Amino acid sequence: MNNLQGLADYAIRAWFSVPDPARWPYTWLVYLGFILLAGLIAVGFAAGFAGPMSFIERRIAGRMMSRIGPNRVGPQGIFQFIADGIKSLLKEDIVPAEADRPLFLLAPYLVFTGMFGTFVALPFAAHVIAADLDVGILWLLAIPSLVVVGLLMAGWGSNSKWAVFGGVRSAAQLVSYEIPSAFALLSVVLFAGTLSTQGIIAAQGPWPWEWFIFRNPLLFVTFFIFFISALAEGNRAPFDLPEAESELVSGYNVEYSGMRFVFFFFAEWANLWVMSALATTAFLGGWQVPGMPAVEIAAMTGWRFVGWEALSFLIFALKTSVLVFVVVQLRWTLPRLRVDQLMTTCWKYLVPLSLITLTGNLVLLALVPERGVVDWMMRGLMVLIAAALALRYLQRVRANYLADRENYRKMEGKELWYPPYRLP
Amino acid sequence: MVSAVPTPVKGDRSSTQGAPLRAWLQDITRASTSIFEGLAVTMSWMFRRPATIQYPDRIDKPVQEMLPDGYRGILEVDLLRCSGCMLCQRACPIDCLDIVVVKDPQTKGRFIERFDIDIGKCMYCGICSEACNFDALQHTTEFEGSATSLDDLLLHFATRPVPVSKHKAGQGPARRPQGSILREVIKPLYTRDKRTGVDHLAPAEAPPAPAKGDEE
Amino acid sequence: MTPTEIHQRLLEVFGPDDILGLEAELIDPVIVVRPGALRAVATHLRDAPELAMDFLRLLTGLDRPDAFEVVYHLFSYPKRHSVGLRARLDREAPTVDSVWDIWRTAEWHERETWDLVGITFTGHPDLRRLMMPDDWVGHPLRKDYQKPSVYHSIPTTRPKPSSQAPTHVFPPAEHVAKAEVEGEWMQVNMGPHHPATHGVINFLLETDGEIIRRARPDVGYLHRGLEKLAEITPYGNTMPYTDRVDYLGSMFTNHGWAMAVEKLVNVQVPPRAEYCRVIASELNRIASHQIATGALAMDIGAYTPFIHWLRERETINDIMEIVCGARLTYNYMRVGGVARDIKQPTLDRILTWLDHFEPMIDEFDRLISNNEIFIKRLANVSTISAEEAVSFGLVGPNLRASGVDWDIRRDEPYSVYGDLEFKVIVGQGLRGSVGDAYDRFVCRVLEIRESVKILRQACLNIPEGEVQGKVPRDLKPTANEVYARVEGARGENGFYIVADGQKQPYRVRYRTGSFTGMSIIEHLSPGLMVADLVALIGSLDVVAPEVDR
Repeated sequence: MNNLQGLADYAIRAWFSVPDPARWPYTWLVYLGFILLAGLIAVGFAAGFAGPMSFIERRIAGRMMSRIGPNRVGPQGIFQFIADGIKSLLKEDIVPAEADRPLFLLAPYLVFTGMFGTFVALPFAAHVIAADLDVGILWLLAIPSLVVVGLLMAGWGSNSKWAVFGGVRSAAQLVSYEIPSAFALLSVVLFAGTLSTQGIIAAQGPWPWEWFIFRNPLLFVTFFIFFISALAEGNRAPFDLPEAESELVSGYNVEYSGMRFVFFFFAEWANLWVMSALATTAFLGGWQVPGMPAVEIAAMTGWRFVGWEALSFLIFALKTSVLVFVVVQLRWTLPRLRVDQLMTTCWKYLVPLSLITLTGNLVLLALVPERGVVDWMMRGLMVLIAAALALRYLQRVRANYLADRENYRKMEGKELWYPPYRLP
Repeated sequence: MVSAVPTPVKGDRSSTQGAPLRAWLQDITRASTSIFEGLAVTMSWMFRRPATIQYPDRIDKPVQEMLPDGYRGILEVDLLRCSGCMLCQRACPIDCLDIVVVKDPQTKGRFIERFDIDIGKCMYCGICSEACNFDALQHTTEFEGSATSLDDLLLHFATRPVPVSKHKAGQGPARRPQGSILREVIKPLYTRDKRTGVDHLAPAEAPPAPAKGDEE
Repeated sequence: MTPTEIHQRLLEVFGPDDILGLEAELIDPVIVVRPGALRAVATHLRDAPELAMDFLRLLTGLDRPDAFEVVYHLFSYPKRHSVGLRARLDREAPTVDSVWDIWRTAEWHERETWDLVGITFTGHPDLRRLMMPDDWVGHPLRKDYQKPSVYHSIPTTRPKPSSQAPTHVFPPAEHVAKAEVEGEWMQVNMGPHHPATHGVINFLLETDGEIIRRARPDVGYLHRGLEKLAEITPYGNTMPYTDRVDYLGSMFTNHGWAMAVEKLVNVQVPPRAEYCRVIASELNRIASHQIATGALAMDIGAYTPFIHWLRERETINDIMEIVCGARLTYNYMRVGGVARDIKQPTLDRILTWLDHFEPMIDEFDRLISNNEIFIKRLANVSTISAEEAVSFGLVGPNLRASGVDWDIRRDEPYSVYGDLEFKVIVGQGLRGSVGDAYDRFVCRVLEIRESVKILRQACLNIPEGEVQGKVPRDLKPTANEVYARVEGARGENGFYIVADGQKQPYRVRYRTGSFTGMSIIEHLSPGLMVADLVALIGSLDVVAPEVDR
């Protein structure tokens, strides 16, 4: 059932003492108010995430490049994003003389809408979701298409050749990568038996071996297919071709300034959350709290309910943040693909792979009974493999960390080494 | 592990040749392993100390004091040691030195009337200071010379006629500390707050406060 | 073969009517050819198997009092011999046949010569101005050239600082051209302000969507007339100007200039100074290759490797600060030696830093060189065959990446490179074909490793002694011509000096690696994508001021 409606009905009963909200003449007004409120909260959350995220990404990038990153505005520079926002607000909103004015002005809003529309069906906690749509996954796949329209409009409307390059690239890229991403989600939908996002989370469990990613080897691969496609759909490196700085200067947003430019960037950083949250929902068990099924949380009342909801949100946010960090790290590690390689990656690697995994998943679904011996063996195996990979990763990180420590030690005593604090 | 640039692999010219399936799988494995390695490198830097410092306010001492002695910063001249031989002016490739030496008709003494250095034109090549036999013209470690107009970049070292030095090379008065003469002559756009280390617009260059009557 | 033998050989083939003589008294001897026979002689020089002069190093236009001259400096990679060709042209209408199809690199050289000296090359396909604007009047390198006081209301001289009022009036903005679509091609201006052009260069792209039909480089935005400046500056004082030829490799231009003048005035350089030169040059080579490889990675979209390289380069800059007092425009070398000695603590510091630096090269390789996306972006992109590379006059890592095993440091040892052991890196087609963009990248990374080796040897073996040889107070070489060259970071840095007994050179010509590197881009561009062009420019390591000088 729709959570928002239930909440609104509860409020009408409690505040206005109306026994049956369905017959009350002002019910629609309260509903409208609740919808607006939910929208406001969603946009507020997205903005509240995108702003600090822009700062956090820059700090992470700084550390990876062995520099500090923004550190001037406020303690450790944490108000940098506010300063940037104010600066952008105060900047002149320039519309090029030769631009297609309506398209140029409308484009940022379309991008914004497309990105924030996804928050409708995204779960945050056990019972916190704007609308638990029965076709949630379908909505999440469909609504970002508005972004394509927006980027194309921005590219065309700017009447700049570089912007057109960016717009056309983004259109080709987003349309192509929707296919593997849809196939990947289809595998999950098959196992969960529902399109609802909350339903998919409910079909998994809180422990890693109950997550879809570790359910069988094919779903493990499917997760990476989905993750890569999500990167491409979100114009994130190594698929950031529409705004490739070194090739297209800045791509579709090259002519934008002021607040319209900020809209593009808000959408980009909000999309970090969207893609990571979707991956968490579909593969990483969502907000599931160990030892506390959602049904039991629903039965609670008062602060206990709020507390458990908050805990489930924290778990969800933690998993999402790990993915967000990986996305950011990828951006500052990898070079960019070329346009034809982007298409090759999609059509020759991801689409065949996703078809193979989808078919394999169908077979596994039919042959392997859930929670049977084979199923548990596969789950255990996948968790072990993942743990081994993580261990290997940590080992490599440590090896890199230690690689030149001895040399630094050697240099520390040297007097002429100047200035001394340049050493890490 | 993968450390050096890959060694050539026989038969591995391009992924389009040979068995397509093998090449296809090879592409996937290579991409995943190399991305894994790259992520390990960037991740390791999350735990290392940044190599940069926060210039200019959070450093132990001014950069001017950390630069090596031979650094070729803004020129300065110690007129007490200058013999007015004009070797530097002749050596300068771009005529950024403007020296006028006059002779007093009565006493027959020579005076340096003008010693101007156009640091807007100077290319800090160091040829003039090499030509100077008296250690009078030297490069300092000062490098902050931003100014609001080209005029401020013309440094006048001789504000009044100075008698030329009669000392031989290697003798004469001790050279004043490097940079001390320049700091009297140059009009920097920014001055550093000694306490906080933050740069401020120099008071002389600050725009005058608007009169009260102008505000509405 | 020696120039005399080549002269004899040409006399046998063409006879004394066409081969007018050999100027053997010059340091680099020159054969004088009748202008009408130039094409035939040039073709013979290139095609005769025992001559095989496949490399046109330099084409210079000279304005002599009695005649215009065109000087061709030729070299043979297979035979390793060199000679100059000279054609004296009529002063009134200087015209000579173009050799652009014999040596493709002549195409740009002839354009530049026409632009700056005003010699017409008949048969040239595209004789436009190269450095100066298209509506410029006159040829600046002629001796009787008078520069206009204003150009489009921009004064050509800097006002004295004391003059108060700003005199600069910007011309009214002309109508901005709309999207020009001729047929189905789109014209795009890539530059002059574009992140991937490595300086102020404009590329006029004609594209079909993302695929480039033709990319025409439009250079000259950084033309500062350094060759003209050298004509009015005494020999010793030109040194700081050579810093500005190539700001990423000042040491090499310093070194080349010093070598050229030393040959002219016949000065011996003390051994310690030679070692100082080598140490400084190799440090500079590391720094320059770091910028080249890092910026290429950044053009491809990976920022982190570039910043990591900058971090390591910072130490080189610090060392340079101690060694020569500047971080970029070193002005370190002097005729007959170097400006300052490299003291023992600095040498220790270099050695300590090298210990630290080598693991960092490994890390750079792990981060970017081995990255599959990076390899796929560069492998098989804009492959230059050995023949093309030689014909277009590519030098340095670009030439070696195409499979030509040639390094001036090893094959024509200058300074003390003959005593040092190092490997010459040749492109092997690691992950694609020989001479592709990835090979050029790998060549540079491996050359950094070789430079580390050289630095270790040089720092340990440096002898004691003076760092400045005996040099006459006024450098006044007798009338002579010299062509000196060093192996710079971007390849052969050549210095052609025509001396006439004055304190200033009569004519100076800088031969730079970026100039020829730039001239091949138009030839390679058809069929590339926009992103590939970015990779091509980055992999050729073009430095804009070196193109324009």
